[in-house]
Amino acid sequence: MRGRWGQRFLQAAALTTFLVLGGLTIFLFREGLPALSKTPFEGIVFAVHPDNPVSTLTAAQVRALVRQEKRWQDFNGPDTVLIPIYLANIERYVPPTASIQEIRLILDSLAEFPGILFALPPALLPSSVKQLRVEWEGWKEIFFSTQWSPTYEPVPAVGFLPLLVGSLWVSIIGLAVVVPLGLAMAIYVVEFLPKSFYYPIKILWELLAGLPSVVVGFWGLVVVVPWIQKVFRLTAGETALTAGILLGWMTLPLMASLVEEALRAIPRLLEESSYGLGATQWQTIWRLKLPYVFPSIATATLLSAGRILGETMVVLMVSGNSPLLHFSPLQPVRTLPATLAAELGEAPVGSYHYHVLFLLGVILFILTLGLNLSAYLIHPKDAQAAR
Amino acid sequence: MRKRRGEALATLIVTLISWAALVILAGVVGFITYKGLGVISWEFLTTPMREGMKKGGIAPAIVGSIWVTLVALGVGGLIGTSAGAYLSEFARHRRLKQLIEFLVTTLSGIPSVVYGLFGLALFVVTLNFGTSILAGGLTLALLSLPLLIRNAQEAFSSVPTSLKEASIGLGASEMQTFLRVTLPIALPRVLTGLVLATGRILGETAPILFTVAAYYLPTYPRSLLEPTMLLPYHLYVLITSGVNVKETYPMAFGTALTLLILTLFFTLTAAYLRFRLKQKYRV
Repeated sequence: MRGRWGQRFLQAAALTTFLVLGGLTIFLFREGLPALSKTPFEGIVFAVHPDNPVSTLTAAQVRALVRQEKRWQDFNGPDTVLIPIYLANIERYVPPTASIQEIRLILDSLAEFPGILFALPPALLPSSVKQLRVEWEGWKEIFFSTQWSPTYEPVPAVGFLPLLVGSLWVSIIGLAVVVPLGLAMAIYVVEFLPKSFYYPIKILWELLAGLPSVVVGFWGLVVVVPWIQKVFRLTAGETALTAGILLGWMTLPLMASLVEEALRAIPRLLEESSYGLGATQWQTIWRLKLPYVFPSIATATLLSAGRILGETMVVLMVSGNSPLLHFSPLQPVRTLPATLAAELGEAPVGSYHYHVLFLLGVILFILTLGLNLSAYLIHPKDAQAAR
Repeated sequence: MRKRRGEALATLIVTLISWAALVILAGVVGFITYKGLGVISWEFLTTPMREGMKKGGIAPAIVGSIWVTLVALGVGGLIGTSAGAYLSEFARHRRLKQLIEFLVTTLSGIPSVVYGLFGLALFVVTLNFGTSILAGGLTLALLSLPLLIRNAQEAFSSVPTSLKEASIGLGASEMQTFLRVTLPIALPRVLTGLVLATGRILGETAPILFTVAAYYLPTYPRSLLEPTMLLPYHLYVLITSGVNVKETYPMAFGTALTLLILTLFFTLTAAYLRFRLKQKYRV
């Protein structure tokens, strides 16, 4: 009887894997999806001078106005200077010690400027102004905008494309490092390494795999960043290239050990047939072994890509953290995970910023899941052996 | 003749690459050791930080890391080992077993920062643990589950079937066989997995950012529901957001070396144990 309860306990433990994956999916989507339906300016009303003919603007247009990239005339508005007033800049006009009545008085007098643009809670809004409709299409802003500044007032920019491009740059460079070097390491260990060196080198691989990423990031910041800066004559050495190189190097043990296992599993008969036909060692490697283990190489590459895409701390520290759309690997970038790590701590729970960051988490989750599932489909055994 | 020279060159290249990757590893460890060794002292390891992290030690971060790791290992170790035992010894439905194994693989590919998001949404906000040792420890437990489950499963599977069958043949139930035969024999390998997981958990930074880590809290935690400083996060703070980064750099090197020694010690122990066990059972 006791045995049955024991078994039930063990089974329950195994079933927690369902709970973990299910819970992870549910919570990510539950917190992330509101970013598509909510607006970032809930409780805020936009308003202009009653004589201003503009009645509807898109979020991007408001942003351009506040940034002074556009003027009222561009939207058939009055030929005057724009004065934007929102919660983050209200201190410029209102002394911090002012009472509510005083604030109202000041705002009322400001409302007489024809170029005024208010973005305030309804309670603070002067009565004489005309409400302005600001259109916000969540999915368009998130998936097609090319700017990321989620705390910009009064209208944030939450386009995740720059972050995705940053992630892509780092991943491509990381893969360019890890795939050839990892293959070389696997070939070396299987073909040329004296037997007595085998365990020492495997232990070194494990040490490399176990190096805390924050330590790698620190070393990268102190040593690699200045070096990259000098070699490429840049103003800053924090680039996608720096992050990619470090991440590729960190991922080498994963790539190398998976390929190594595959190379060792090649039937002896095949290898000896190749030698028997007169092939040299490298001919055997190139023409027999590497093609033979190609599925494993593909799996290892996809798994490495997933690992690199999800790495957070190194990228946060050495990639420059600049969420702008760049098309050169020698520019600073910001990746998806680095954005989460850098911003989630400052986003109040339940705010629009918080939900958008969770949506980024959903995107990252789907991307890495896709990579890992493809790896699994190509070679299930290898995908399971990776750690 | 030309062909042979090409082959020698290829051999040379793979040899150089293989050793270069490890020389860089030695470079990292050597550099951190060289810069950090002078900072580490008894005082550094046993006193709290002072004067905005420029002086004093890192004791609260060490204590915090130990607390969080213990919670993670306690919860993760129990669930992971049990799940591994189930998969290896008791799973009757082949389909269910394959499905769980597939889930374990899937979970191991999810980035650690995503686990951090999950921990924030579930433990910190929904279950209302707040930013606390409990929330961070549980998040890290979930993160290390795939590693622990797979290790335990391999450990139990490596026990020779003949021993299990002999036990059943003597009239022991499955559970008795598991508790008195399989578990004691597999225990060294299970513990090896736990040691390896300890090294990984100690170095993890992304999942603790939003679930437990405190920016500056130079006191020792008194309950599981308090936030705490931790070694990896403290290092990150020292490097990136100190008031005067140049002045906190020596402290950063000391912290990095402490963290490096701890994680490498556990990783090395696990690797050593694993290779010794491999030799022992390869009769």
